[in-house]
Amino acid sequence: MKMLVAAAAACVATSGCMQYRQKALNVMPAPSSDAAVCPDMSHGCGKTVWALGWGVVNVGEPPAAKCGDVGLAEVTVRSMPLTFLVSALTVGLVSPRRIEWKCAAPTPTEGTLH
Amino acid sequence: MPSTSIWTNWHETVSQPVLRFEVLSNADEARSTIAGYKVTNARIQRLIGEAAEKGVSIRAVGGGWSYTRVAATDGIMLATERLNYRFALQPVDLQQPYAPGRLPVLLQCGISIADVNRYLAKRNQAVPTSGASNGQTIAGALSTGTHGGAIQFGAIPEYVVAIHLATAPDGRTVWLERASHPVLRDEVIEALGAEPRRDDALFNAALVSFGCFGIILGVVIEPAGSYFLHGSRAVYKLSDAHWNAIQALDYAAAELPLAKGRTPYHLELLCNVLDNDRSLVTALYQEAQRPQAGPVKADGSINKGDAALDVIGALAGAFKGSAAAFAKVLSRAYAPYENIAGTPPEFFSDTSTRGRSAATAVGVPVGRAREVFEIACGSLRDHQAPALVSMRFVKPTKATLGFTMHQPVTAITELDGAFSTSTRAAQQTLWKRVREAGIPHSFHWGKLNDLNAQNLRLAYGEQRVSDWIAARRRLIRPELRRVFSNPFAESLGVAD
Repeated sequence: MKMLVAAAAACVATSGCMQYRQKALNVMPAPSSDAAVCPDMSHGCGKTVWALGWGVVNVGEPPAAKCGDVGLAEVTVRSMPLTFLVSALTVGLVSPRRIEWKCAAPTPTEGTLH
Repeated sequence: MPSTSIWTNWHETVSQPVLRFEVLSNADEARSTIAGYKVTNARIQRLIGEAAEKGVSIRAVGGGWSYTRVAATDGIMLATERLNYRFALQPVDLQQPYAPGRLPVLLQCGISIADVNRYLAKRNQAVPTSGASNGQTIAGALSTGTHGGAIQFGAIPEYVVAIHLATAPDGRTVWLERASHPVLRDEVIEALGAEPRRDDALFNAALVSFGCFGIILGVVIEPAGSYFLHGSRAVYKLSDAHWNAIQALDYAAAELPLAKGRTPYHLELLCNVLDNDRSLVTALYQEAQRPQAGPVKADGSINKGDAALDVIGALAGAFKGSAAAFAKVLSRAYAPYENIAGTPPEFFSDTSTRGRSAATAVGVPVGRAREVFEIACGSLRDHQAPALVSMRFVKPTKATLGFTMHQPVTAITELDGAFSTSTRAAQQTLWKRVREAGIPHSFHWGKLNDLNAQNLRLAYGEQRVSDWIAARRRLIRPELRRVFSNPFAESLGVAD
């Protein structure tokens, strides 16, 4: 029990737990032009979104990522103990999750000095 | 001045309030053009001017890979990862002839090591060495002296042969090369808007200068021809004879896996102290052609979660016995393999380390390797830390403050693990005991260390530090030295 409490405390105190990531192959993450508000090299940009009524309404969805002409490098969906608890207590009626994303670095063609 | 955002590094060991966090990008992100390169460089010079006007410092940050505050400032931070132009150099650009297939390339500062690997592979080339993972930018990896385990080659600074720097808000940028090894023709350098400066001492000092010599705009590297690595990782109890052979650089006598009398390209020792000192030896050999051997790794269906290090670090702090359980898990993660072959990027690929971790690396002369390895293992054991001890070997660098500076080979002891009070205590004990033992040593600039003005000079020697400062003073105007500094440099007494 003590170990479970410590593990939960670790999740709350740090970046959270229970997260899943999908990455694109052969691209590296890079800051997006809106990174001034999310200069976090580890997590990228992030926003908490709320699904209400088992997904009938989504609240707080982030605007489209400003990745320039390239797409996303990775997206992470993160559940923290508190959000998990809210979902469980409301039987999914209120279901918050943290979404994090990173843009992909562009891959320009090779140039020459002439 | 009030900060507008907080920058956090990749390993979550640094959280820095920043006055301004500026994401740089090239005007044309689809094609590498000299015109675009010069426009970006001019913008960086304007930002240097802005920093000077506001009386704050300016730093470029790449992958944010460093564990220390080496890249951090409360002034202006420039995110460079989108600045990844790559240019093929042609014989007409160069001062000296190169063998076919070995022509150097100009890389913009923010290109990642992963991207460099892919780019060079298309040219049938490869980097001669890299770190264990590939998320760093070329400028960041260079500036902190990032190393791999290339016994016969060295670290990243060894293949950088020109550095393009913005050292002032006005005038031309600076193109640094060694006088003993000129690379680009003067008219080509001038076409880049730069002033050529050829000076061995200045160049060697600038190689590992962690932002204090201006903003790196680009570098020229000399790639190797494409090659493969072939080797094994085996559970190995290192005997006196093994250590004697390794310290004497007599690898044939060390009876390493797949050695056949050859010196490995990459040799790594790893000890999981809390799992009954379970030791593994990884020996990789360089091959021109892909050998008949298994692939580097197969995909697994069970992976370590992103929160693993956070949870393990917290558990290790709460429960003394949990680190030993963690050690058993680590032993599964570091399984032996036999007769494996692949390209260097296949071996040293995308990092799987996410979450808050703690890493340190201490370089010593190879003759003291065993002593330091045992000190590290003892430190870990004393603190029951959820961590591993490993050792790699690297040929000495020419960089003045390069961490891999020790002759005839630098043995690098690493104590890496979950960020917990016990891991941090074990690392501090390692540093203290190495100093108390009077062992010549150096610290990785990008990993946790206790460097200050006194410890810097103790580690690198007064002469190297003085040479580095003198070189910086020749390059950076007095009124701009604080602009290209940060609290980290100030704490080392090298900012003025």
